[in-house]
Amino acid sequence: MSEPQTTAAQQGEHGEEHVGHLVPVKVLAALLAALLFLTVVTVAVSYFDLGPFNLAVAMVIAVIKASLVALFFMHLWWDKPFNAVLFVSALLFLGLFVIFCLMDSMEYQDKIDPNFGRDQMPQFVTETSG
Amino acid sequence: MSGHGHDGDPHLAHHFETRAQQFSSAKLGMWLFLAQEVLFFGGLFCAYAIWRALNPELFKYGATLLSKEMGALNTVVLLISSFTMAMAVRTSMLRQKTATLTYLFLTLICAGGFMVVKYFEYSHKFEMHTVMAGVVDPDTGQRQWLWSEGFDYEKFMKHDADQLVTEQGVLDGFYAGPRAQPAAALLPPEDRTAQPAAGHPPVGLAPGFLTKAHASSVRDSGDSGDSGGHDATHVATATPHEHWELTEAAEKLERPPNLHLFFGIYFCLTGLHGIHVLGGMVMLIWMLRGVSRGRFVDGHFTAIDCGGLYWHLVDLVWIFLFPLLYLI
Repeated sequence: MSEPQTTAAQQGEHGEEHVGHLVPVKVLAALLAALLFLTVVTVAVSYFDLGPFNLAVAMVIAVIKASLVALFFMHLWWDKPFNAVLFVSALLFLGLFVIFCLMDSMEYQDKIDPNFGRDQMPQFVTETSG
Repeated sequence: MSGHGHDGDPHLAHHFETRAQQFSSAKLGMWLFLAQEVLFFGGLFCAYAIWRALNPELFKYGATLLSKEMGALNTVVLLISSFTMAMAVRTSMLRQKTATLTYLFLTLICAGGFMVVKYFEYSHKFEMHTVMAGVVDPDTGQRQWLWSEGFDYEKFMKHDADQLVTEQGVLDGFYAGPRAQPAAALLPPEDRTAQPAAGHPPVGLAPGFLTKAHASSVRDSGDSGDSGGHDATHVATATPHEHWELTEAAEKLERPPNLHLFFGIYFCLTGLHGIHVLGGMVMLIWMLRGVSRGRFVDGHFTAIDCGGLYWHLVDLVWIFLFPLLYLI
């Protein structure tokens, strides 16, 4: 899955230990191809009207693309797990935030008074006296 | 760094035990920043979710005014830039100066290309009058931006809807009031009949959208003198139980008057993302300068690695922005 951890190029003059990890070019190129393919798919699907499934399909494809970018371009696949824990928990908290806001936003529609402040509005058109 | 232990390694700060620990700490710090960035954009995505839930027809309409092809081009450009950035990280690890310079430069080119496409998109939006709200002054034919200096509020309020319609037949006017209601045309018919208090039209709709139905009083017919043969487009004061209908001009509207809801969130989201791309370009230029002086290709490539993380996050945000705004 990966090249040898240390190469001659990574051993400096001080014989410093290895840091970082080389991702093979083939992996990166395959990733790019997969991401471009998924982009084509998501654009193509958008030309068809699937009703409420348009959003679902678009989001599923977006999550797959985002996972590929996060795991492999951003190196989470080979990193210490804690970095992934950080990132995923940020997303989870964001999800919590959005869910609470959405739940709340529909709560008060029937309490909104459409006539609120109307008597303080400027007269739009001066009526001819009559 | 002398006198604090770690004899001679210029790249190991004295408060770290090993290079590996230093590198892990840098990456951890960068991931903390990325977590913050997720929440940063997340606020705007939350606004998008709420507004879309409340105005689904508006967002479907707004997406038709955006160019899917340009959005897809931007997506492809950013994906390629992500690839070149990852290659730059790899070659900096391998201490290959020329290759790193090449890949960083290609990433910068892609970022510039993204901003160029964005420029064309934004200028097109500006031409379509979705950026600034304003009306065409019927006397001078000049466009007046809302609340700009010299904007005549009273005159604006007295305009006929017909006079607010441009040559293309699309209303460029702005509707009064911060508490917007959805376009009356998009409401089901039974909801269109408003019951205004004290004879005022419903909040949020510009004069000329609504007229008294079956205008039969002397006052109303006297007002329609300067509208020619059109329906009565003046907003006349109505008695509390009058029935309001859409004017003929409002029926011709192609555009819901609360379109600014969609474009507000569009410009905020893509604008904030564009600012991040610009910041990333500054970062790339800094990296290019450093690498050309031999800095990050001497075994201490942490900055390129962390900068690459930032760039991939910019790409990640766009991966979600593109379908949400353009495709659905």
